[in-house]
Amino acid sequence: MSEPVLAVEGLTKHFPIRTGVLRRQTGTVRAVDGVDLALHPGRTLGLVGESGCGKTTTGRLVVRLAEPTSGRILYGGRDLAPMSHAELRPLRGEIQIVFQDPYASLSPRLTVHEIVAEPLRTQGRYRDGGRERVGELLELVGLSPEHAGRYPHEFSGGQRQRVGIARALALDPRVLVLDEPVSALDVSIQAQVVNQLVHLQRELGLAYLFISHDLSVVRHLCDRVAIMYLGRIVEEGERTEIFARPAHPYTKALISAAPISHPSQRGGRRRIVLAGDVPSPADPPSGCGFRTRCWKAQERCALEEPALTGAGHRVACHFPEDSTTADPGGCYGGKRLKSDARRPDVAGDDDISG
Amino acid sequence: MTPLLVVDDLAVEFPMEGGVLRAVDGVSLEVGQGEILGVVGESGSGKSVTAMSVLGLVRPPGRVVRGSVRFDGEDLLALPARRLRRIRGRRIAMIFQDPMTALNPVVPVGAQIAEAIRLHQPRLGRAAVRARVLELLASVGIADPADRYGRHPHEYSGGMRQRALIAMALANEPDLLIADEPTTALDVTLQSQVLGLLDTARRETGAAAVLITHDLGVIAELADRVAVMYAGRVVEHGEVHQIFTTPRHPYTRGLLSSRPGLASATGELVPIPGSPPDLLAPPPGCAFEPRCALGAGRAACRTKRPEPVAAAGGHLSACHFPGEPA
Repeated sequence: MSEPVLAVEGLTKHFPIRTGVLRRQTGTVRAVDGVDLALHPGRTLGLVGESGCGKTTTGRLVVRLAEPTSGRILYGGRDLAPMSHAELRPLRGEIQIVFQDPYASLSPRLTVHEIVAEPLRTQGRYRDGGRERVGELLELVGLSPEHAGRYPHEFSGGQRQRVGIARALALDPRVLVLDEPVSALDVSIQAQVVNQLVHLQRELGLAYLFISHDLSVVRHLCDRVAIMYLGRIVEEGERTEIFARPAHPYTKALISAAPISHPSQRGGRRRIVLAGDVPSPADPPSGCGFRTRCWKAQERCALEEPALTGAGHRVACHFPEDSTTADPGGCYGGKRLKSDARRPDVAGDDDISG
Repeated sequence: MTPLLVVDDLAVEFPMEGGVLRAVDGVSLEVGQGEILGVVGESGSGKSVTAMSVLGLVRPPGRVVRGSVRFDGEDLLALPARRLRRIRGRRIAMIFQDPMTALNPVVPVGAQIAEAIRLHQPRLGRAAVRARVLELLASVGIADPADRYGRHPHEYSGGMRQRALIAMALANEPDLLIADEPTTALDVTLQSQVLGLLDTARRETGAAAVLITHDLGVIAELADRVAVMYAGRVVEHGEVHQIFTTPRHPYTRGLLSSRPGLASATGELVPIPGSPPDLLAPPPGCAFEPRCALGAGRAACRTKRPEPVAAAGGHLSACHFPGEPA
C-alpha cells in the first residue's frame, strides 16, 4: 500500500468537567482515548460508531478544529498536534472538512459565491483568478456557476451539501474529513451526493475520512473501516473483511442490527441485542470499555485493557470472534441465516434487554 | 370488516408568503384492525402532515380544506375539540420522532406517564396508576422501573427516552398507534430494539399502527401494507411484498434502487435526478414528471395529473404508464 498522506497516533482528547462556582475540575470526559488511524491518497477510511463514541471529535482533531490532549497528527513529515494557529495556517487548506448539517454550516447571509470564495480570501488566493476558481468549483460539484449569486436558502439540502463540498475543495486539499455528509439528506439525494464524492476522489486523488453511523453507506463507499466505541477503535480492517468476518463482538452486534432491505428477510437475521446503555465516557469501565455489554466478558476483560492488535485486520478484544464460526457470505445477501439460531449468545429479534 | 381508520381525499393547506402551499393533496388511506400501514416518503412529501391531521393537530394557519378522516365510524374532522381529546391519547396514541422534545424536561418521566393515564381514567387510584406505570416501564424493557419512575428525562439515555414514550403511548391500550419516524433519532442498535418493541406491542395488544418513515428498512421490517407519498400525494399503495418486489410507480422504483444495498458491491449508486418540486408552484401534470425517466416529456405526464389505478391484488399506483420498464 502507498504511504499514508496523514496518520494519527495515540490521538487523545479529554474534556474537563468543571463544577461549582470556582469551576474546579472534578472529572474528565475521555472523548477520544488513544486513536491510531492512517489515511491514504485516493482511498476512504470509514469511521463508524454510535452517538457519543468520539467519531466527530476525532474528525475535528484531525483538521485541528479541536486541540488534542495528546498524540500525534503526522502530515507531510510534520506533527500538527503541537502546532500553533499561526504555524497551522499555511497547512489548513490541505486538510479540510465537510459538516453534517448543510443548513447550519453555511452562513445564511452570504451568497454561494462568497461562501466558496471565503477560504480563498483568507488564504490570500482570491485576487489571482478567484472568481473563475469559484465557478470551476461549483461546476466540479455539479452546480451551475450561474447560481453563485444565490443564497443558501434558495437551495435544497442536497445542493447545499454540494456548496459545502465546493468550499472544502477550494484550497486543493489532499485530505477531506466528511462528518456524516449525507445523513441529513433524503435517500434519493443521498445517492447523488455519494456518487459525487466518489467522482471527486477519483479525479483529485483525495484521501477521505468518512465519519458515519450508517453501515450501508459505509459499506458502499469505504475501502477500510474503523469501528469506534467509547473513544477507542475496537476494530479496523478492509471493508470486505469487517463485513464478512467481524471479529469484535461490538462490530458483530452493530452489523446484526442494521435494517433489512427486503421484507422477505424478516425474522431471518438473528439480532444481537446489547444489554444496557453505553457507559459514560466520564467514568469508563476498567479494562475493556465494551465488557459491561458484552456477552463474552470474563474476569480478564475487567482487569486488562485489550490492545488493538493484528496485521491488516486489527481488533481490540481478548476473545475475538473465531473466523471459522463467522458466516462466510456475510450477514447480507438475502439468505436466511440459520447457522446462528442455535447459538446461545445470540438473542432473538424480540428480546429486549434494558 | 370495516377498516379502523379511513382517510379519504384529504387536503391540507398552509398559507405562505409566496402563495398557498398544499402539503397534502388528496390523500386516501386505510388501516385495518391490527394492521401496520407504512407511510414512506421524503421530507416535504406530506407524510407527517397527514398524521397530524388525523389527530386534529394541524396548527393554524394550516388547515384541512377537503376530505374526511373516519376512525371507527366517526369523522374525526367533524368532532368538537372536547370529544376529540377523549380519543386522542386513549384510542389513538402518537409516538414522535424526537423523544427529548416530546417529553417535558422538568417533570419526572413516571409522573408524565401517570398523567397520560389519569387524563383518561380519572377514577383510577394513585397506587393503581403508579403500579400501571411501573408495569408499562418494565414492559418496554426499562430496568429498575421503581428507581426510573422519579427520574427526569435528562437522566434517561436516548433509547430509554424513546422507550418511555412508547410506554406512554401504550398506557391506555390504544386501538391505533401513529408513530412518526420513531427510530430516526436513534442509533442503529437502539433502532432495532425499538422496532422489536413496536412489533411486540402490536402483537400483544392487537393495536393497529401507522408507521411514518423515510427509511425503507423500517418499512421492510414491520409494515403489512405501504403507501408511498410524493409531493403531497400517495403515488403507490400496496401490500409490502408487492411494493418491494414489483413496484409499479417509477418514484418507488427510484427510491428502492437509490439505496446503497448492503449486499451490493461497490459501484455507482442510482440516484433519482433532480429534487422534489416546489409545492408553491407544483407542475401541472404529474409531480414526479421532471425527475422521471419514464415520463421524459410525454404529453400525458406533463399535462394530466395521474389518478391512482388499481392493478392485481389491490396494488394502486398513480402513474400514466405504471409498471412500464424505464
